[in-house]
Amino acid sequence: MSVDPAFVAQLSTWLAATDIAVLELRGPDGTLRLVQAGSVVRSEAVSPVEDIAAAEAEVVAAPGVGVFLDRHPLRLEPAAAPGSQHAAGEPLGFLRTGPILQAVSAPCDCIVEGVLAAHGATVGFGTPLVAIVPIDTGETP
Amino acid sequence: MIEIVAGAALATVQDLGRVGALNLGVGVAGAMDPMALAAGNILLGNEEGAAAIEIPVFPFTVRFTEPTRFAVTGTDCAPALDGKAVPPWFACRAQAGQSLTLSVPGPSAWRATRAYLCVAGGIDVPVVLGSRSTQMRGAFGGHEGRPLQTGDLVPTHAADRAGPDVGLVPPVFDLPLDVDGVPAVRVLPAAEYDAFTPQAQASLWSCAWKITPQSDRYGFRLAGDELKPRVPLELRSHGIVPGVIQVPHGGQPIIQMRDAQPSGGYPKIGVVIEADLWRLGQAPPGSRIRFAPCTWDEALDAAAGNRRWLDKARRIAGLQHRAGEGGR
Amino acid sequence: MTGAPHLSLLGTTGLLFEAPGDTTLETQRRIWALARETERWASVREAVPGMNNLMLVFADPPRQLQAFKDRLLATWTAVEPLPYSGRCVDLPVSYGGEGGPHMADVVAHTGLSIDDIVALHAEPTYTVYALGSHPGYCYLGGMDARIATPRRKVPVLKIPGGAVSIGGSQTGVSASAGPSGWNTIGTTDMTFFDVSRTPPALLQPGDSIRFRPMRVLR
Repeated sequence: MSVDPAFVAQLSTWLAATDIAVLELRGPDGTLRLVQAGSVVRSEAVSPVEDIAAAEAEVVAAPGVGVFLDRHPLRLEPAAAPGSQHAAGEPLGFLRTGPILQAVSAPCDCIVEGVLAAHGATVGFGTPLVAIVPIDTGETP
Repeated sequence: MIEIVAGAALATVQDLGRVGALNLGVGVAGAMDPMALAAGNILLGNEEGAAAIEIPVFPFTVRFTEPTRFAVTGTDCAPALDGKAVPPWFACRAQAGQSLTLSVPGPSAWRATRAYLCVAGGIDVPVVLGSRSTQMRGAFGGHEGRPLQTGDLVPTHAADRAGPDVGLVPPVFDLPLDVDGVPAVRVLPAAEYDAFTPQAQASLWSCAWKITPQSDRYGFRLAGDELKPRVPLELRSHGIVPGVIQVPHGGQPIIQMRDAQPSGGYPKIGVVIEADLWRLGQAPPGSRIRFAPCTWDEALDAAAGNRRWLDKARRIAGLQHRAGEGGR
Repeated sequence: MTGAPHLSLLGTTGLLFEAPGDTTLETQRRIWALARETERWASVREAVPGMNNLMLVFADPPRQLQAFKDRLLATWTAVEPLPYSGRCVDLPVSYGGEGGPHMADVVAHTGLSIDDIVALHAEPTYTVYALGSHPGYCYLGGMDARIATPRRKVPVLKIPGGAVSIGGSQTGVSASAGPSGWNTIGTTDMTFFDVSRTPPALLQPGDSIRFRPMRVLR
C-alpha cells in the first residue's frame, strides 16, 4: 500500500496522544496498521494474505475502564500471544481497577491474532484489546 | 456438595480459627493464609471467615454435584474446570458435574504453597466449639475431624448464589515485604529474648533462615545459626500462640503454626506478628525467610494495613455484587 | 513472695503475665482470680492460665500498651486468691515397662530407684492448675522436686493417650496421642476430653488428681 509518509507521521503523532491502541488504513492494494505500544507508534504493512485473515478477525474490546494487564498478576507469561489457542471463556487478559480484576475473556474458541493494548495501559470501555480469529467449528454459516 | 475425586493428602476444612477454647487445651487451627481465605470469601460475597478447603498438596481434583460459585485463592495452581483454564483469585461458576483440577504450582510471581477452594456460602460442616476448622489433635471440627479423603462428599451451603465473575489482585503485590531479596516477616522480641547470647540475638535478625522440609501446619522447623541461651532455661508451662519462635535445646528455632499446641515450655526468642502470619503460612519448605525487627506501633500499623486491604477489596467487590444483582 | 511479675509480648496476639517466685497453689489461686477479672476486659478475648502465669489473648491489641500493663499489674496487686476446691479423681497407673519408656531416664537423672520414683510420684494430691497442650490435658501442681527431670532434647513424635509423664518440675497425663518432649513413666486409662460432652473436658482448674499405682514394672 502506498501512503504518503508525511501523512503516516502525522497520524502517528495524533494516535500517540490518544488511548487508541490500533488504527487501520485500508486501501485497494493492502492495509496499513498503526499500533501504539507504550509511547511508541509503529506502522505495519499488512500483507494481502494476512489482510484476508484480518478481514475475518474479531476484536475483543475492553468490558470497562481500567488498567490492561496482559497476564494475571501471579503469572510470568502473557495470557494470550499471537497464535495461542483458547477455549471460549478462557482469559485473554485482565482489567485492573484498584484491587479488583475483570477478565477479558475469549468470546468463542479462537486463535489470537494479536494483543492490541500494552501491558499496564489505561484503557476505556470499548478499547480494542485482543484481535482473535474464531476457530471454524465446521458449521456452515 | 463437593466430591473429592483425587489427591486429598493433607487437605483440610479451615476457617479463621477457633477462639474461646484455649482454656480447654484446644488450639486455634484455622487457615495458614487467612488473607487468601478472607479474599476468596469476599469475592463470593461470603463472611470473611466462611470455611473453605485448604490444599497443600497437588494435584487435587473435586467434582461439583450441583451448580456452584467458587474461587481458588492462595498459591497459583493453574485451576482448570473440565480442562478449561480459569483464573486464580477469581469468582467462577461451575455447572453440576464439572470437575475442578488444581495442579502443582509452577513458576509464579509469588512463591506460595497453599491453595484455598472457597465456595459461595462456605463449606457447611458443623460448628464445633465455635469453629469449622479441623482440630487435628482432638480429631473434631472440619470434615469428620480429619483431613479429606478421596470419595468424601463435603457439604456446601447455598453454593449457587448470584454474583459477578471478578477477581482480586493477591495482597502480596500491595503489601510486599522482603529484606535483601529474601521474603521477611516482622517479629517482636519475646519473654526470653534477653536470656539469649548477644550472638544469638544478632543471628535472629541477620540469618536467612531455611524452612526445612519438616515444616507443616504444626510448626516450621528452621535451619541456620545455632541460637544459644546464656544459661540453660527450664520454664513453667504457659500459653503460646501461632507465630511463637521457640528454641529447643538443639538451638534451631521452631515457629509454632496454626495446629501447634496452645501451650509450651521452650524458651521463646521472638514472636512473628499476627499481621505477617499469612506470609509465613505460604512460605515454601526449602525456601528462606528473614526476621525483621519491628516496634509495637509498626506491628499494629501492619495489622491495620491488612484490614484496610480487606475493607477496600470488600467495598469494591461489594459494589460489583450489587451491580451484578441489579441494584438489590 | 519476692520480685515483680514479668510481662512479655506474644507478638501482637497476646501478652504473657508470669508471677514471680516458686510455683505454688496460693499463687495459682491468684492467677485464677486475675483470669476472672481480665477476661471481662474489652481488649481481652481470652484469659488462659498456665503454671503460675496467665496468657491474655487480645480481642483488639491496645495501642497504649503501657496503660494496659499498668492496669494488669494493679489488678494483680488487688486480687484475692480464688478459693477453688473442686472434685478429686483417682487415676490407676501402671508405672514403668512398655507404658513408661522413659522411666530409665528419670532414674538416671534423679539417682533414685523406680520404687522411690513411684512412691514420690503417687504420694501427693495434685491440683489441676490449668488446661493446655492439647484438648483436655491438665497441668498439675505439687510434684515432689526430687523427681524433677528435664524435658527431652529430642521430642518424641507420638506418645499415646493416657501417658503419665514428667517435664522439668511438672507432671501430667496426656489426653490423646501426640508428640511430647516429656519423659513418660507410666500409663493410665481415662477419657479426659469428649467434644460431645458438656463441658467437653473431664477436669477444670481447681479439681485434683491422685495417682494410684496398680502395677510397677521394673
